[in-house]
Amino acid sequence: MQFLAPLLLAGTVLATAPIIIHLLNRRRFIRVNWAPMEYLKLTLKTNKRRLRLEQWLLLAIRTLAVLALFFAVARPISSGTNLAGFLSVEGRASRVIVIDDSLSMSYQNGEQPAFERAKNAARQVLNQLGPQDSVSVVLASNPAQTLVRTAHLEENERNKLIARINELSNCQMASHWISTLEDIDRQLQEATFPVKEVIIVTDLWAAGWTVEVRDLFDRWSQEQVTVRFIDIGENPAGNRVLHSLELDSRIALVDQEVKLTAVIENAGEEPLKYGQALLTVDGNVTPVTLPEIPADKTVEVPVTVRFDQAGQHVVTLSIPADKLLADNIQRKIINVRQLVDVVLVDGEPGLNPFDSETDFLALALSAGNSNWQVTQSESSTWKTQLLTAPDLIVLANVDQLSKERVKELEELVSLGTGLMIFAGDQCDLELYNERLFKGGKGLLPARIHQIRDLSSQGLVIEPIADSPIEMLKGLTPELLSRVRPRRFADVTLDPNSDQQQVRVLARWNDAQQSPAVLEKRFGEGRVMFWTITADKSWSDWPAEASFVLAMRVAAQEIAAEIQRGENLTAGEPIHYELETITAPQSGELLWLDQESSPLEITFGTINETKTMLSSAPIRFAGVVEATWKDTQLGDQTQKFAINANVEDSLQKKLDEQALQQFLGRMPLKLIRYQGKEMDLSTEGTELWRYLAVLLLGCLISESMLATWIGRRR
Amino acid sequence: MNEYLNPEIIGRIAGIGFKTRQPVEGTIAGLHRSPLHGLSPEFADYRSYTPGDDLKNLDWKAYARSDRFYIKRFEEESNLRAVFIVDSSASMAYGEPAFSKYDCAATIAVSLSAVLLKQRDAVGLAILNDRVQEDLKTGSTPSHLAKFMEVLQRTKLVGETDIGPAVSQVADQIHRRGVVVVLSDLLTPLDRFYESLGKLQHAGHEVIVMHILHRDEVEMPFKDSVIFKDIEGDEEIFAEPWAFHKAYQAAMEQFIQETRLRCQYCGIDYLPVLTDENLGVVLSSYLHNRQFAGTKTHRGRMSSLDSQPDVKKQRDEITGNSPAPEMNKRP
Repeated sequence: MQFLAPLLLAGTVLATAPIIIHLLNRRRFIRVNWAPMEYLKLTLKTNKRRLRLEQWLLLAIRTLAVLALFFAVARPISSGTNLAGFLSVEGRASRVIVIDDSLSMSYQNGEQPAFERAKNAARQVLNQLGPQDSVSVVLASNPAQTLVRTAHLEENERNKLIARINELSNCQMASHWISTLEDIDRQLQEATFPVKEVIIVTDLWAAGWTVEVRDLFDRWSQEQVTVRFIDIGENPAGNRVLHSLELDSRIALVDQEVKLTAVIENAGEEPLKYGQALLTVDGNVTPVTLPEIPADKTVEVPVTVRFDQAGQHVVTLSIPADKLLADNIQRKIINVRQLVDVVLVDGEPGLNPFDSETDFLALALSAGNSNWQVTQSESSTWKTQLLTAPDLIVLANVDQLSKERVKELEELVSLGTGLMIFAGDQCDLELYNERLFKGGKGLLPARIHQIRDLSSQGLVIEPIADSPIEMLKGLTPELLSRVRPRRFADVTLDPNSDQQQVRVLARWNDAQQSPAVLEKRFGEGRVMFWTITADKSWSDWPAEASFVLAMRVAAQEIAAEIQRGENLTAGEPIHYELETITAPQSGELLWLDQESSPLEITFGTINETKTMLSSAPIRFAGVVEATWKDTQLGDQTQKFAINANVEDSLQKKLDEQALQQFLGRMPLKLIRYQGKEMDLSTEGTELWRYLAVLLLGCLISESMLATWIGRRR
Repeated sequence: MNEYLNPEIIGRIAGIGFKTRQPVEGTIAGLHRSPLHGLSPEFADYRSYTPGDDLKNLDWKAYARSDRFYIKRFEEESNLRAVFIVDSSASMAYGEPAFSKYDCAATIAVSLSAVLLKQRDAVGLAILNDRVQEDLKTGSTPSHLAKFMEVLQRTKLVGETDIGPAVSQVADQIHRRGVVVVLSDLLTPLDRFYESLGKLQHAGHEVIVMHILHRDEVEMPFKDSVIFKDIEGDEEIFAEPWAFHKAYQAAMEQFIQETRLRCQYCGIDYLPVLTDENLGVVLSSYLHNRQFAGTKTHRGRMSSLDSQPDVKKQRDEITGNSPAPEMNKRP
């Protein structure tokens, strides 16, 4: 509680006046020599309690009336949470006010989103601080860029700062408190006053709080840094999150169905029935009927789109609105290509149809599939040619590769080109192991032990998530049981290899469950090793229909991904490699779906071979377009989609006990603002009217009570 | 010297006179009925002659008519021996210096004594608090009144009121049936007082209780805060009388009514007197009523009154027969 005229509070000492008058009155008496003392005492004894109660009541009302009078004239102002007392420190202080502007601060359960309440709280905190203190104000998502730094705020400066705060919007990044607090720690090192204080205005949602902050808080506790929390958040009361919108395959081709999967979580207590999402493709909106999503469940919703032109396309999916709108939208930049370039390196060319090692492969990939441009190349020729950068390279029964060619292949694959390797009689196993396996560091997923005969009952697809040949699991067991190779390349898995990098996708149905198909992630690309030949020399499978399906699926999944960093999450910077050597001079980054000021982009080169387009971390979600002028290619544009970081949508709020665990030895100082009104500071309601009413009531009561008591009874 | 002798009061009540309502034993012939049959102009009854009877009492006319000897008997009319018992405890000083309760009691005693002496009755005086302070033997000469007043005037009002034992002591000293008038504020242990009244009654005395109170004591009219100091002790009580004014009045009223009830139940005249009342009016009214009131009925001992099933009904019934007026209330 604050007083606009606190000096008048001194008048409250007059509240003792009724007591003093009462005592003085007891000195004004007449003395009577009285005979019937027994009857007097009898009467007094009978009425003693009533008389005493009446006197105390009257005295209390009179005292209260005096108190009410002087409290009223001192003009008290309500401050339900006593913010001034909460912020009070001894001496001058260096304060850093941190305003949480993460995604969860958009949550709106009442009339105002959490971020508006946070701004309101920050304003009122600033109004409480005098110019003697040094103040820095930062946003949690961008602590390095302060709104004001170690300033001593006079009224004008404070008003300007408040105006800036009023214009702020919260970003769509996830909280990451350790990095925020570490940045603030650096600012505190520069603080001038010995009393240091960090005021964190936050919704206290659990996302972003990690145990690493405990060490920092412990150190602050030792350094006498005070941390005060202003909790402006409300308890989460349900939310729907569109977690992701991902392409099912690595490539999207013109005039082909492109399948996407949307992951939707219903983190509320009510099921979502008859929901309808809106799918926007290059501005054209199409409704998508959602399945029923039970409460507290996550579902995957398939979405299919088709593009008739190559190039960049913006796909946006938005689910029905809820209390946190920012996590209901996912944007996706899809690079649609006209063709997929495949090079088949034939290690055993033949003169007649299907004599060559790669004839069955070429047929499987190109038949009825005009988007796949398949080029067959004899290995002897390919080894000497300058290596191009196709989307997929298939080495079929290639005897050996030079070290230089292996190095070139490694570079290509690491940049995203897919590589399929088929075994064969011509393969020089020793060289393969030496140059391609490289003790587990090369392209080959496993060491080839030997070529040996096999008696298998078919092919077994391993149940692995995100397997490139996962679709083959849909085939009937009879079809897979007919895949019976006579010979195969027996491989030995390196027990020290990373399980995430090397996986056995399928095994032969023999006694040893020998690996049939192996995959290795190598940089951005994938390598798939088939332990049989691509022709019919080791098995009759290439003549089977299932071979066509298997090859197409595998090729599509490991072919070079044509996404190159266009899809970002809020908080990430743009880091995009340009197809030019000379770095452009300048460019700009414009928002396509909102009216915000342009962002800065920079161009630079890495090792004088790569030209990169870069930006600072982008804190807001949306679609941006970078434009620049290339000296060779002319005007260039590139779109980027920035999605909200839905990690911050975690529906959990820290209570005091949970927060204290993160604080370690730092004592918890927390103030909560809840309800409709944020009534914290001297801008609060003046209370003198209520006190005047109280005073009037006291006076009336006193008059009535005094009359009633003073009557002759 | 003649402070308590008020001719106006005496003049007002002298014409009415004072007669006992029960026989009394006097030494000379007087106005009052005596329990003894003797020389008296008032014929009582006959009885048969027995040898040894004085022949002067033989009714010859009756012998002539009936040829039998009858002896005439006459009622003896005796003079009255009235003893005034005046409370001289410190509490009786209330009302000083104007007109204290003691002054009031003394005035009443002197006024009645003057009337009685005029009737050739004998009057005595006992002044007591918790013991007998003064004891003036009965006398019927006019000069006795002077002694009477002198004793009253020289009395110092000291000591606590506990007149019960003292009254008993006085009762033992009165051998002939007469009238005993008690003048007190009755702010005394009442049980012992009632016991002493019973003793007086048992001795055949007619007892009159005159309850002398100051109006302040009944109404407590104070408007300021008051420290009440016990007039007979050292105790002091601070109080604001307006807060319990009515409760106190009710307590005093109950005290008076209780006393009235008990006295009248035992056939004792009870006369409450406030010091500011016109004593001539009060006494004349009382004496006038006595003349027309019937003989007092003694219904029982005072101590048995509490065990009666319907005290209120009895009280109302008794009050109806009482010659004593209700205490005057200030309008």
